[in-house]
Amino acid sequence: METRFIIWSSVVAMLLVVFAVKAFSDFRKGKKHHFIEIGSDAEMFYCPGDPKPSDQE
Amino acid sequence: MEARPTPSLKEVCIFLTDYASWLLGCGATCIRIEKNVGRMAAAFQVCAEMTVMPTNIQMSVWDMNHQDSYSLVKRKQKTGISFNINTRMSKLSWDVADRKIDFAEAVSRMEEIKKTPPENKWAVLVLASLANMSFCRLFNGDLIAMAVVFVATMAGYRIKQILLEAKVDVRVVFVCSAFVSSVIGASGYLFNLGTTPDIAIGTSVLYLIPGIPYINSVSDMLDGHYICSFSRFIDALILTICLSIGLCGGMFLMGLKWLN
Repeated sequence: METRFIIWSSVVAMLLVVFAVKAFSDFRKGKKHHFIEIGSDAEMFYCPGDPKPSDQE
Repeated sequence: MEARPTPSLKEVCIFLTDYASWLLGCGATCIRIEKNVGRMAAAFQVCAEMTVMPTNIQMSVWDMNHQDSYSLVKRKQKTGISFNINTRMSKLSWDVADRKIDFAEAVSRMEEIKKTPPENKWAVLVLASLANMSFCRLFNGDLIAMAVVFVATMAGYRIKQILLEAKVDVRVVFVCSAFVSSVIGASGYLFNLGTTPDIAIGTSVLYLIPGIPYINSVSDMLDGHYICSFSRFIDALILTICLSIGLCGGMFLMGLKWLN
């Protein structure tokens, strides 16, 4: 088998092992993964003069 | 209504220095730090003289009569680049300048801003992968190359997150992430996938380019902050070199020529 296939396979296998170990470690620590969060765009971008969210209610 | 006590020079100096160190740490340019601090100092009726160095802030606060002063030196806050904190800190400075909040509330709000949690790492992972995939398309990569870049970016970025959480030196992180992304990005050559494997491997590491330090370096240079500009440029250059080492290592091991 070509050397580069061996190297590629080794790198991918190592990656999968690292990801699996990390996921297992997080699971053992009870870490909750929030994939979706909701926020307002004002938290990322602000120009002077923008109304506060409370002003808009 | 009871009048709130005016803050002492010491309290204002501590607040402004802390503010400036956080702003420097989260990736703001020197001019933004100067303007925000100056704006708040005017609102607090003091004069603030500040020197922004690459790793620390030197602040002197004077009363309006220049009779009394207080000086502080504080190290740059160790925090990742965060547009969120940057925006909220800037908003805080405008609220202070517009007299919407007083000193006590400004301190309280800044403590709240400091506790801002980082962005959802999974969302950043997916969005960075999609962005890099779009870069591949911009460079006329085909669909297969885009898919390869998406997977390569996702793998490399996840490794970057894991290694940074483990407190590995950021330069080593860049070498490892670039290596992983370039090896996976070479899948097009290895398995004869698609018609643009060269674009896939070239764009697979773009997510590691330190764009913000380069841009901030130019901004600081234009505003005359040459020390900070040079420091940011060298930081970015070192990261780019590490990225290149990882990329070249990956290409070498995959048997790809660096130059035609």
